[in-house]
Amino acid sequence: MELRIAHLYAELMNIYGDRGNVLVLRKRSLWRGITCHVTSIGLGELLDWQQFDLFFLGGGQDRHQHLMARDLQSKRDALFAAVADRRPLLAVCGGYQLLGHRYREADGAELAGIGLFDAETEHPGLTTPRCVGNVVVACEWAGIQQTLVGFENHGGRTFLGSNSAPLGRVIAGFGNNGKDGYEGARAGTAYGTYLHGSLLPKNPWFADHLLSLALQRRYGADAMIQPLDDRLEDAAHRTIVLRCTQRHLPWIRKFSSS
Amino acid sequence: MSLPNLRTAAAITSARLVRSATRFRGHGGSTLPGVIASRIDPHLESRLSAQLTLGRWLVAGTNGKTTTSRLLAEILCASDLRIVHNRQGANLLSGVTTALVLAASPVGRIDASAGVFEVDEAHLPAVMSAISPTVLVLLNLFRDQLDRYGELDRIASLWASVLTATGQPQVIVANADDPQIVQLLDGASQQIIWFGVDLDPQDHPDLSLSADARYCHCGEQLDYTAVLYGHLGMWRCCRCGRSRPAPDVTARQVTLHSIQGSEFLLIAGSELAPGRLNLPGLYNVSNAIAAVAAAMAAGVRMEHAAHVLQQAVPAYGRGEMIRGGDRNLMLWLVKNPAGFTEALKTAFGAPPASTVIMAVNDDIADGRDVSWLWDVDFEGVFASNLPRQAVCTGTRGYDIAVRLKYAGVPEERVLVRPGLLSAVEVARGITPSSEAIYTFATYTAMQQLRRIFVRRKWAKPAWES
Repeated sequence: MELRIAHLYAELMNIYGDRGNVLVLRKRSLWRGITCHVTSIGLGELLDWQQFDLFFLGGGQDRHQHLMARDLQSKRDALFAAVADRRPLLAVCGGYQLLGHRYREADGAELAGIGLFDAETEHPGLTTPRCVGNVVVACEWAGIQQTLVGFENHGGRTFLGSNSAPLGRVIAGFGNNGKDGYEGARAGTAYGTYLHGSLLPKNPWFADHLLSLALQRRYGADAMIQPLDDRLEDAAHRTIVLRCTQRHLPWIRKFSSS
Repeated sequence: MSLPNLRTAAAITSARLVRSATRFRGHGGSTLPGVIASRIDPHLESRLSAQLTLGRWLVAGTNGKTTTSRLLAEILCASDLRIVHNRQGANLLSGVTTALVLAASPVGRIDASAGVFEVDEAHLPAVMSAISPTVLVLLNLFRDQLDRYGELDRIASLWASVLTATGQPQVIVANADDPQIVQLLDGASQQIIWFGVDLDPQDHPDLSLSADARYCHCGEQLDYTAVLYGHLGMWRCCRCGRSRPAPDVTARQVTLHSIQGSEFLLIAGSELAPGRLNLPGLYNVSNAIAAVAAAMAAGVRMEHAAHVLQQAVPAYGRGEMIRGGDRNLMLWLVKNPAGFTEALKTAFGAPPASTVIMAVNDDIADGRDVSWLWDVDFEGVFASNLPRQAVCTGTRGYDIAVRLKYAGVPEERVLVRPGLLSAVEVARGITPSSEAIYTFATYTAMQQLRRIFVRRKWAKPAWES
């Protein structure tokens, strides 16, 4: 089997270690004997969506996000078509924001998104503290009951409309806006999130979910992927879940950390 | 004694007491004394630094501050200057204040004529306003702790605006190899002395995985004929024509000798001098010429500076070698993708592969977001030389273990021991006595390791090194 990944704006949107997500998808394919090709699709380049099984879009600095937002409009139809065809897409942070309807910046200016997610993001202003910290999210959809762990760092607050579901419920952290208890967004096979970390290394179940979606669409429902030895990833995942959900005083943690 | 003097005396005496107390408890005492002194006698640091009439150097940048300021301090000391220097690396205003206060007599007299201070990127404006530098050294800007500073561009804008607003200092020594630094100095009215490493394009072609600022402000991707490290190198923009300025002080014909150091030719105008450095890596050549350029700004002769460079030894945690019982440990402080990648390249440039300790904490000083580990080019480094065993430790020991797994290190070579003490013991147990243990640690993990090493008398406390 073969997996073709489109990494959108790889050069531009890579500030938060998001490249790790593509690396994980690549390795987890390789370890199963699945050939994996990753293609960068950048500014001004045509996105021939039918040539790809999976799409990834990362986060970046404000200046780069402006450049990306303009270009994204030209790729709008391709991305809609890909998701309508049940090809998985993962968008993190800045990428996630611009797949919504719009992003209103701190100074009031608006960046148009493409509306793949029924979501709007606004930045409340530079004096408002950013949403920063470790996050644990509970995902209960499509027969899945799992947690996602990661680290968020965003000024923008995202609010979902009725046509997109959240990625999950916040157990620890701020999530989309620190108010409604939700993190991320889901629309068909498109997933958006604020979780860095990178996201996929400590959440192998989610990486495999994306891989399964991609391979089953292409090769049929029989294209199963065998489980891998994820003990290390799971231990890393558990460490964060435990740390975020235990209520103990900081000084106790200091004693137990040596 | 008049009231202001009494206040100053109280501030300085309290600072000394605080320093002794913290040292007694095994800590560095490089920040608290300054905090206490400022509470008692505000703006004491401005009055003290004004006495450093020969010059006040500030060294700022993401990577290389400690090494560059130490080299500069050594060059100036060798010219028989008495200097004040925040040698331990406490680089917020409190750290600079501490260095000044502890160098002063109880009546507030400093027996020194010059000051060298490394400064944290976000705190440059505050320190500039407090001590009015005569020379500012701008080394580089890399992604560091994203959760503390937000973004790279924000720091660059901060620097640009404070330099434009104040017009200070008179002289800026800046890195021509860093497009971020060059672009933020657009329109600066100060005199700029550029330094840069002239590389042979054939020897240094590849852009590493961890490169950040690869875009020109006009939006076009930058072109590199040669890369020094990260996004530093011989760059230009094909669209708007912006390009690396010709350096005033440069190193050419660089030959690297892995962890032993390097040799090169130092050039400034028509002056030439042979350069030899016992500090490992290409990035240290850049730091060295920054120090030389900064010293020359005060009239130090290049030949003299080159001579001092030859005697330099690695600073605390920058390829520092210590003897741990019967093993050699080489210590590297890692703080961001570019720095970690360069430390790895240098350490693994010399086979055979050995044991590594990777100690990653996520305290505030380490950076709570460890995503940056995924931008360290482990793949590139391990392609030619895998570690025999990797002992992963610290509060994020599992994160670094997972990173190594995906970088191609076979799982049987990866051991996780969250406790630092246990990790050190395990590493010693599995390493033959003839081989070195390369230890890469984030900020607080390095501090904690240091305390372990000092307790065992393998190393001197940080303030004595």
